[in-house]
Amino acid sequence: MKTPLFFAVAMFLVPVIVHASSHGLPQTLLESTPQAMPQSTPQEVYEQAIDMAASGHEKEAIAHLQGAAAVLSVGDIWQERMALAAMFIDMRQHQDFEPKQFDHHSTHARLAGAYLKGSARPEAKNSWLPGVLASIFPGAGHAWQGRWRDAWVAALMVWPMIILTLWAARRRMGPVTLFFAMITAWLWSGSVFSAVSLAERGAFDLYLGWWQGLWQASALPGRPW
Amino acid sequence: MRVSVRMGVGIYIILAVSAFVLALGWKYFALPASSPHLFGIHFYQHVVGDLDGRSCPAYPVCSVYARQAQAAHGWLVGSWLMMDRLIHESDDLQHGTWIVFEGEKRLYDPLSRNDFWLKKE
Repeated sequence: MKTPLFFAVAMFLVPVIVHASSHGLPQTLLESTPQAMPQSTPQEVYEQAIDMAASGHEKEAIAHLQGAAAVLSVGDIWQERMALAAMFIDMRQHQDFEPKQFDHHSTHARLAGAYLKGSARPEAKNSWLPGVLASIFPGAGHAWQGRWRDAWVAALMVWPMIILTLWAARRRMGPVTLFFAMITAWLWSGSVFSAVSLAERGAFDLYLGWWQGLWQASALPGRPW
Repeated sequence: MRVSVRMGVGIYIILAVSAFVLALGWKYFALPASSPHLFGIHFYQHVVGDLDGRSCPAYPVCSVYARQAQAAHGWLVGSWLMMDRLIHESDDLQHGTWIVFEGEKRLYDPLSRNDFWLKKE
């Protein structure tokens, strides 16, 4: 019983092994293997990483740049660019204003240093205040940010449900009151979330404007946004 | 009586077979019922969306955005992100970032623009 099974497995495996030994790895494996670094020029590696950062893959871009910078010799212009670009992308990721381990020796770093000294930094606004306002009065968090249309939408979303819940509670409608209360809590929390999210987005937009200035002032090639 | 018994047996067999098929291949069926929190979005996309004729001015459209948000953050935070999109769209339309997609001018508002702070370390 076991012998035919053994032959069946062997008949399947032998051609695969013979093919692999004569043609190398199967094509699917080759496709999934990362391209070897020496095949690309430093500029190509740099451009790939900038494209990654532009498409939101910041961690991968940083790893790509740091790895390539470690391979290149110190003093190479692309090594300096890669190290600085990795540092700046890391700054953007954490919304930092001060780079870590900043080395002023390269031309790009000196230019960036001048920008860091001379530029006015945007004031970081807390996102908790719009959240608190939206928690107290639905729509107030958006209005405080000057987003009046959004404030109207948020208010129209929550206030009718608050009134409906209070109406049901007054009429002692029990489970109906509970149902309305749950919907109200969901919508109200959503409007608070929205106020906080928009405050975070606004703060990031301000930071991003400053950070793009830093990138351009340093004269690094490419645009990771 | 004989007909009704035969019918009963037939229904029973159909139910048994369908139960067996569903139990065997449940993960291959992309039924909306298999993910209740996505049912509303699915219903909107495939029933209401075709009927109401209106189109969302944003890219990606709100229902796709909602699906992405639900997939990335679960039903509660996903639903909050969906609400946030519906709320902030009105002001963003006044001064938003515009792109042209399939010949139409659309407000560019991807999920990454609104959920990045949830992933902040």
